[in-house]
Amino acid sequence: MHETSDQTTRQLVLRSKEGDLAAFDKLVRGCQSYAYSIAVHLLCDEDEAEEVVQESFIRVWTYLHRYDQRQKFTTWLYRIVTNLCLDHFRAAKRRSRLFSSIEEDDHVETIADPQSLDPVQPSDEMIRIVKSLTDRLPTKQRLVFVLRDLEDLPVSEVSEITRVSVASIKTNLHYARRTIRALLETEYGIKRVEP
Amino acid sequence: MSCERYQRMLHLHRSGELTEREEAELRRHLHICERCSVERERIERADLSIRRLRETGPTLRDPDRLTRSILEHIPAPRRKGFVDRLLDAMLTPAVRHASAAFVLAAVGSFLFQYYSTLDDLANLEQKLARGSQTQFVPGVIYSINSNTLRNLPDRRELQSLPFLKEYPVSDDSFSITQRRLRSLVPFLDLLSPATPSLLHAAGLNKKQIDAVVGFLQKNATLSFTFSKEGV
Repeated sequence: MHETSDQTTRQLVLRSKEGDLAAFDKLVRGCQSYAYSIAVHLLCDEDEAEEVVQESFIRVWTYLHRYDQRQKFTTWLYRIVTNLCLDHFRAAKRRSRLFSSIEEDDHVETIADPQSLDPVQPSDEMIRIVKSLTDRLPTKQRLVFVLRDLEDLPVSEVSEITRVSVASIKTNLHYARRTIRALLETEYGIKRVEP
Repeated sequence: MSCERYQRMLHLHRSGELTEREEAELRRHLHICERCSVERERIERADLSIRRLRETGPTLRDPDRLTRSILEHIPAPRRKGFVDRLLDAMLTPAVRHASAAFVLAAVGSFLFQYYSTLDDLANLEQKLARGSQTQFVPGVIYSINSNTLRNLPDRRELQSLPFLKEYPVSDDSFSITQRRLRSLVPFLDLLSPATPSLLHAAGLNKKQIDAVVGFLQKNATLSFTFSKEGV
């Protein structure tokens, strides 16, 4: 967690459990940007990501009494965020099946090379690139790739969030990276050097 | 070992993903395998792009608006019920310490009483054992003095006393055999060595006894006497 230390978060969680809204306000401010980052990387849509973050914190407030203090708060929060994102995927899949005849790929977007991205400025381009890369991955690989490679979370925490074994995380990570790297070469012209 | 396994390892080279042994194995293999070394360069180039994506993290357009929106949508703080409040109160350190002290005091008191009672019983047993060794001299008069006897209306009720119940009392006297007297050992505390008594039961008839009992009802204590059978 970036903006508040673990100790402060623990205090804020305890006070929020007691119904302290000021503490919950601070907790939200401390964690929302990271929750948002995960949601954007998974959904590739800023509006939907904000909705998910909002819904996640509402659930946090509602079910805070069930939160097990032995677990890291952010791990619990990220699990809620990822579960809500997965619900969005499922809903989107249902929609796409329904409207598959309408949503034909009738245009091709030009996407910038990831290496040309400005690391400081927020970028719609980044979102589009992530979308173009992760859209081709199965859900589990996409989840693991986002949490590990884009959010930089340790494998053990990814395992806790997704409730998937470490061995399975590594297998999914291997396949996801292989696909992404291949896509980067074909889509963005990163040269493949033949031996 | 096939290159496929090493290339799988190449995709898992970030910290914590490979064991030290696997990393050492991979290093040795890359040293001798040109194909895998080229693959590593390829992966590293692609990773630069992934790293750039990671560094270009999405930023909230209006964090304050999102926070406000969250706080507006959360349900009102839950009012705690009686049970919740009770549980909360019981979880405070002060209550826990007080409960622990109370339990310790209760257990201590129980143990103290238990051992005191054992001590009292042991003393009683010793006293009874001493009493059982008492020698009753035939013909000697024993008397019982007891304030509880004072209110007896007549001597039939005297027989209802626990220690006399099973011993028939003749019309004329309170005679009791010495053998039976010995079985009265539990009541030795009530027996005192004989002294010339106001009431010499052996020689009294019913009328005389009634007179004496009546007299003693009005006075402080009742004494009556056990004597040797047949006396």
